[in-house]
Amino acid sequence: MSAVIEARGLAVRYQVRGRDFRALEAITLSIGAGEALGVVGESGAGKSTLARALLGLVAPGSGQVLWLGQDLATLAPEARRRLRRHVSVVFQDPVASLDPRFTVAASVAEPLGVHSPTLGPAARARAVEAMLERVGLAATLGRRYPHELSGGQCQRVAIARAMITRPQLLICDEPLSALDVSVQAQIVNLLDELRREEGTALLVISHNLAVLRQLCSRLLVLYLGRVMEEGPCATLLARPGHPYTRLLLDSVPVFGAWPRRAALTAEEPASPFAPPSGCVFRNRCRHAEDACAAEVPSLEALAAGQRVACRRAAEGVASPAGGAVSPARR
Amino acid sequence: MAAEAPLIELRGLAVRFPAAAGTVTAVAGVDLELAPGASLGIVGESGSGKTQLALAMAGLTAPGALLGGSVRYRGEELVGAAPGRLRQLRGARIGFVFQDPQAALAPHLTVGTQLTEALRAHERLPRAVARARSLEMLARVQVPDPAMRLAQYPHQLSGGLRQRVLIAIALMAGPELVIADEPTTALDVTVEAGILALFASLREALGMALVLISHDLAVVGGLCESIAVMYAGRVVESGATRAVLTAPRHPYTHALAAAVPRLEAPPAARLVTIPGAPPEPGSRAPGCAFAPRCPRAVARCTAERPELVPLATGAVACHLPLGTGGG
Amino acid sequence: MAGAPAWLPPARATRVALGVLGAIALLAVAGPFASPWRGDELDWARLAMSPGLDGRHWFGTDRLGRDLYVRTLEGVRVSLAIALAATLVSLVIGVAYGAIAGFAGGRLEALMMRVVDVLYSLPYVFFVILLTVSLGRSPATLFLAIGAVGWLTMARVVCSQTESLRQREFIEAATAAGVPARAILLRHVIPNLAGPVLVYATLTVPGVILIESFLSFLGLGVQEPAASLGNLMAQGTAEMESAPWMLLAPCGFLVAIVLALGTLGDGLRDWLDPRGR
Repeated sequence: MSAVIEARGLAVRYQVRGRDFRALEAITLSIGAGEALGVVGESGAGKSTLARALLGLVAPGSGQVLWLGQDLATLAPEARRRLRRHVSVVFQDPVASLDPRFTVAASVAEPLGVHSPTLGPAARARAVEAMLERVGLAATLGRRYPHELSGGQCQRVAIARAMITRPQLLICDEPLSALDVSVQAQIVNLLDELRREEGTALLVISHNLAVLRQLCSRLLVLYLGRVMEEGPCATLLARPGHPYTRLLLDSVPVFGAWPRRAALTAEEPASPFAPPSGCVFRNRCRHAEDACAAEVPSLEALAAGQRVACRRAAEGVASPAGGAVSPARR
Repeated sequence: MAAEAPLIELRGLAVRFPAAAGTVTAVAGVDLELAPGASLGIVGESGSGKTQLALAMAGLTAPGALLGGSVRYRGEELVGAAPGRLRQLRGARIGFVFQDPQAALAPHLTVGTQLTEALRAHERLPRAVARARSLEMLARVQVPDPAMRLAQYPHQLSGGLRQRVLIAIALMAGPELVIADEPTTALDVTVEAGILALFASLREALGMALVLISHDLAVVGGLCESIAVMYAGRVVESGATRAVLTAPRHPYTHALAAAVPRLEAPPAARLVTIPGAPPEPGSRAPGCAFAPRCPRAVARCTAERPELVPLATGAVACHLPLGTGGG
Repeated sequence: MAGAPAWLPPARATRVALGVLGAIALLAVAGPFASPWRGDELDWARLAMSPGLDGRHWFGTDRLGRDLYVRTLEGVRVSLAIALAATLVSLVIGVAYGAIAGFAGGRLEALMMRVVDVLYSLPYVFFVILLTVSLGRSPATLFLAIGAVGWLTMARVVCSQTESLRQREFIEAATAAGVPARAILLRHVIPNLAGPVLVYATLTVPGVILIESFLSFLGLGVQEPAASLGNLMAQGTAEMESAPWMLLAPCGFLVAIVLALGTLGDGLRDWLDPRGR
């Protein structure tokens, strides 16, 4: 099964005030048709950079991004632009992602106008109405402006706009963070439904593991721009191989139990400008040893489909400190 | 609830803002009390009024607002009190930790200056003593290498450290009550865990009372003995945290808890959602504000607003609370 | 405001400003017909007469006996026409230039803005003199001289506005959706620039009038016997002590126009903001 999107050795570097800032390093991932991949990370992990690089909005320093098997860098700008109907995006701030001067209907219709120019105005209007209802909004909302809608409604509009060209892949960059808790669940259900019914693949970037478990079958753990671990969601959450994944799991506040006091040597992530040598996680890892500073650990297979970038993964350093997490349903 | 006199007591607290089309009600009549050294979590979504409630408790409500009802701190009325008296109380008795550490710290002053400023606003102390106390406080909030941090500016610190500094500032003058407004919302989850643990250890060490505002039930669940759930400017349920979270009586509390996917529970095929969205602060319909979204609503709910009724384990504002008939 | 048509801007101040400008424009065009005098007619019997009903010289006459009412209105016409035309040109050129520069970013933007900086630093009066010497004195030359530099500041304003707009997520979303750059500029960037650009444009008009006045004052702009607010004010200043009314009329109009335009600019910006609805 050919992948809808692939990243091979993707690296993105910026120059900030004369210093070399490596936002992403050695990212390799692939998503097949109808699959859902979750990318979890905290601030400084490079999640947004990853989204933009995968969308072709930021040029990679090295490595490749492939859409439907085609390397973005080798495509002419016009060809790339036309491929964009297949890869859509939903951003974090729903209100900011909509042009305040466009009505909802105009925003949703825009990609259609670009990629299906032969569609007449009546057909376009019908498609927009149908899409608005599909995402759970009354078609009459088409006449409104973004500032008249709630955050949840705006996010639905953004999803409608993203889905109107029937893309193969929907990249969601923290789609829930700006929403109220009771509204987040609605959007999660909507995304899941769209994936199952339209066959659209999902790449969901979030810091919320519980949501990712709900939506995704595979998970990629990002830290300071590097992949720490990847594999089936169920496996990673039940038997993480990397100490950082373990730390994330232990840090999530849990009803009725005091958050497991994850043992840390340093609380804060290292600065992305000056990452530690060798394994970037080593200054927060209680299992770090001298060898960890010497070379960057490569992603090695630990179990079926699970790959970990840790020298000591095989020793079970990420075994639970106490309490277990229910396996994902997929 | 408490045998001794409450540290802070709210009766019918209302906060309204004048707007072009009448007044907007942020808090519509809240009764709460907190014993010395106790901890209370206030949970709500946007429009619930939780931030305005917190601000009113600390006497920090914006000048244009209309305050109604009463907030008594150790018997002293704060609503309508002179600004000078409020300022005295703040810091010395009531500490406030703001939500966004980046915005709440002055970017042009060093950490040390902001700490000593917080202290010297209440006590006349020589610089050296103030500095020593600052160092002590930074150590207490577990900031590594405090001496170096004193000379640094906020932008040189990470988010978690900034929040620790904010907490230190709030604690400098030794308050009896600390009100924290979403102290971990802007932080990463691994950093959040550390801050929550810090609050717990500070309470143990210093014995202060804590009011924690959050939208995250789990955060409150781990840290606070009692909880109050707010919706559209009112408290809809309150009681001991464990009781409220394990057996919620109000449909909103129940729905909120169910809508949040939790790692420790088995995954659901589909998340339980609450249809619609929280109401805007400006809107005011008769009857229960949650009725339009409530699966149990009956005619009475839209006609008559339920009062907060004390029960065996806390209080609930609902005509048909869960656990009674009307299933 | 009850009963007012929906297509008018809502704020009262804006409507008043619009009304004032409309009245001035109307007066400038139709007003002279109310007077029996023509601008170049000399009333030998009433030289330098103060305003009054005698001979129907409502604004008085100047040293040559010309009716000031008609001349002032002619001045308003000429100045307004030049100002509006020059502003329009600087708007079109400035917005296009600035938006392209701001949107392109990187080296192209830097280059384009450096060009603006260089042109900005040219000594203006020198440039105008050169122009006047080579092309002769006429409203067209004046218009060219004003328009040639008017677009510079507009380009700068638009460029920086575009730069900040470019960062906004809805622009990124449009790029990600495959909307071509030209369409993004026309449909998303420029309409969202409307607010600051309009305000700036309404400030440009009085600025142009003032420049024109200054140039005419120096003798470089509109020349006798034609009237412009500038040369009228120049003459008025010379006669200030003996015939103050010669200065008052053009000044009064200038002040009214500048104030009205300023208010209009703010009002239009608010009116066009969809969040106001």
